[in-house]
Amino acid sequence: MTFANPAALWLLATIAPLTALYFLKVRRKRVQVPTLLLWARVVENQRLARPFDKFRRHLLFLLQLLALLLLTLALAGPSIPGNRFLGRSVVWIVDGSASMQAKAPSPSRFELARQLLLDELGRLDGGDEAMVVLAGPEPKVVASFTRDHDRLAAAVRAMDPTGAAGSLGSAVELSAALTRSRPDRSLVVITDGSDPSLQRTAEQYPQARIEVVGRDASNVAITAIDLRRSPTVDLESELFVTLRRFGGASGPVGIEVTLDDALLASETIEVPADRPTARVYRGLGGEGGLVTVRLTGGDALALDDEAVAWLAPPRRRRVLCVGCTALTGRALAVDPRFQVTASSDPTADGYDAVLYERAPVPERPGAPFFALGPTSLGATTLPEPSPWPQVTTWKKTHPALRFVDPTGLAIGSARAGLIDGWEPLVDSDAGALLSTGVHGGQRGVALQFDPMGSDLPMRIAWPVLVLNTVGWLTGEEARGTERTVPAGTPLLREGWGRDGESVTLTRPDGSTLPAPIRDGVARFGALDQVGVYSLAGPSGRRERLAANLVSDVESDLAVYRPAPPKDADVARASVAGRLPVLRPVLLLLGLLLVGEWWLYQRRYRD
Amino acid sequence: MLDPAFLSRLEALALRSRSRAAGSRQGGHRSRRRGQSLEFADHREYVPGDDIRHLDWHLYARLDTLFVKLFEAREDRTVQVVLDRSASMGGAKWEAARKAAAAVSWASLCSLDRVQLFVADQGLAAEGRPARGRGAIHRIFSFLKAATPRGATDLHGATSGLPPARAGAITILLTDLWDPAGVEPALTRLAHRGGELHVLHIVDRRELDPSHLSGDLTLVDSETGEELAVTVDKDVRASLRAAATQYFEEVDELCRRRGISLFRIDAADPVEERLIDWLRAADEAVRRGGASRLGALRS
Repeated sequence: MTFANPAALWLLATIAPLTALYFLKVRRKRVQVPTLLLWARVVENQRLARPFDKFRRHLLFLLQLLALLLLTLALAGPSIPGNRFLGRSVVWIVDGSASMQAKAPSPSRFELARQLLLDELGRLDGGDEAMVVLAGPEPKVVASFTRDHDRLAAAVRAMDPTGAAGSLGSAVELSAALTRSRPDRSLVVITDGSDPSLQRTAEQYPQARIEVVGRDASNVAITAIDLRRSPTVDLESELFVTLRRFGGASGPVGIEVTLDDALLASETIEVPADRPTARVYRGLGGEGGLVTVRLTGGDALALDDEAVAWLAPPRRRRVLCVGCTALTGRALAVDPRFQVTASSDPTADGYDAVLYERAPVPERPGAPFFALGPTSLGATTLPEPSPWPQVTTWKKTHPALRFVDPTGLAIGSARAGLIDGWEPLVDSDAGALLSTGVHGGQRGVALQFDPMGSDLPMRIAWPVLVLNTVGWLTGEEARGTERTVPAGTPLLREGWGRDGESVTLTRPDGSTLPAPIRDGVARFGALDQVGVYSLAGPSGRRERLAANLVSDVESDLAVYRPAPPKDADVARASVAGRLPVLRPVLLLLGLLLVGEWWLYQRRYRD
Repeated sequence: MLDPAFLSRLEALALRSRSRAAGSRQGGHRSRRRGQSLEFADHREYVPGDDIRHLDWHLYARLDTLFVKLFEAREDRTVQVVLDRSASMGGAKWEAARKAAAAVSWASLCSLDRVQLFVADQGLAAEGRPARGRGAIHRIFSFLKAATPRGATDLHGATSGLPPARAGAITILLTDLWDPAGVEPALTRLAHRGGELHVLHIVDRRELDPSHLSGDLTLVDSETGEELAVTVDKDVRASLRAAATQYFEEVDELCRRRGISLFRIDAADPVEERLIDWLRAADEAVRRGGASRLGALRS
């Protein structure tokens, strides 16, 4: 028997004082009796009749000692060797991160891991069961526990690495949780050591055997890419690219920039070692398209040599203004991105966004909308007006509130309060003043007071708020951020249809993945491939987005080997691989205490 | 100390003796001697010196022989009341024993007996000179009130100091019979010293069935201070009850063999009722047992 927490055995030292206390008879009550004549006769008779009476007299004490022993045993975490008849339970956790695709050595680290795993599979006994987990951006069980080793081998041969950063720690945690109830279990992690959490994982799970595959290699990578609207030229964008060399010496690197196969730029730049190098390419416009940045020359990891970004067509957004005042119209007119049409007709077909100023919002608005001082949203009535609300907090990170400071706003009255299912963006002492949510299948923002009844239009924050909100509603902001994402990011799309409908994602390798809309949101898993994804909604809505590796961790191909675990950790790990007997010990302890209670009641209470 | 109603009831009852009294003074009990009472006892031939007032002239007329009429002498009797006042008699037993001693003394004084009260522990102490007449009861009551239980029990040693008993004397021993040396030597000596011996065994059933005791205890002997570690549980309490029963049977057998009248009084019960029971039982015993030896004569 071994113990997970041998220090608890020190508790046994309390036996000595316990015994001393007992035999010092601190608990004996002195009682005066007229005479001991009969008592002495009784005691003597009992001694003669029951030779084990002394033991019986101390039975409660002995039971207490036994209880203490069991408690100590329970605290020490006892375990015994697992039952060999049940066979071992082995979990292989294979690093599926992008760095495993590095050809260091050839053909790739992942192929080495696969071969290693297949070799170990071949050495399993017939009664052993095994499971394989791929540690991509999300842990994925490639093959659940089975004794069918052929099936396991087939699953291993079919698995592929991802193009995203991995989460080895989560995979090990999942595996440990899945195997917790198995007596003789072992975890094997096969990785290239690129995960920064590997050392922590090794310390946390010392029972895991870590097999490191691959060798160090130098690599030049695109570590960041972004498209931003040009601050100087309307309807044009700028491309930002960051390069970095991992390992090796400084040297020239060829770089090409294309827009839908049209070469925009080609140059050779000097990339120093272990220092980021940024490049900016201006004048991207035209009809939009896919911007691709490629590094020429080739190195150990191809995934980070190419990055793509989706350049949206630079068209003006059509904005319908229903009941807009001159101040609102003027605020929109200053931005060339928007083409504003004023109308009293709330029908918004053909528009990218609608502004309802002191006008009722229809039950099903035809486009994303910004309601200024509405009294209701369709059939939903806003809360009753509250006088002079004072702004308390606001969500500074929301795109609609960028560079907007609503503090100290003087508002005559507002229908402040929570709108069911909406998220407050600006809060006051009376409730929400600015909220966002989905109404009639369209994304919307509601300013819950009449701006003309406040000093908001007199502030510089007014046009900023209007332009931010309309820009966010029309998807303008998504061009630079949401449509170019790091691989491994979970994908959510909101307002693409009704519940029960589905959105289909086409992945870079051509495979499709449908996701049903629930609560107005279509949820996809992590984007585990690098390249261009296409989304198709139920009403014909489409969107393209690009996922790039852009990960310093994955592009750094230095192989890291964790320090071996400490002896104490190994001892604890060996316990973890054994059959824990805590439950039987606790059960015994419970039974013992019940027995002691019964004995006490029988002896002293009857 | 005693309820007046109870005292009145005691007056009607007297402690009867199975043997005739042999006192030196005229009393209320029949005597083996012929005396001055009005009760005729026998005739005998006249001898010179006899009081001629006692000549039976009717018999002389018929038989021509001088006979003297003999009459029963009425003599007093000594009642020795020995009260065990060792520490084991404390509590309810002491109250019961004091009441019993007082009641016996009163009943005896009402019968014109001489009453001498002793308290015994390791030694013997007399209340004073023998008391006679009802007026002496106050002295006895005062003595009993002042007495407290103390010391160890040595019945054999203590009773050796008792004054000799005349024929017809009654010795009443009030004790719980807890004597470390055993009660047989003491009872044997008392039984053989003449007169009658009555043992009023004062017990307290609460100490023989100690349901209030449980668990690990150190029992301390009230007389010797000796200690005994014991774990009291159901079985031990049952054993104690059995041991008490056995001990009582042993005492009963001893008293039967020695011709000692034994009466057990439980201190937990009303003492007065038990004493009345005892006096009636003693009277009944004298009526039945005494008829063979003494006839139906009342003392």
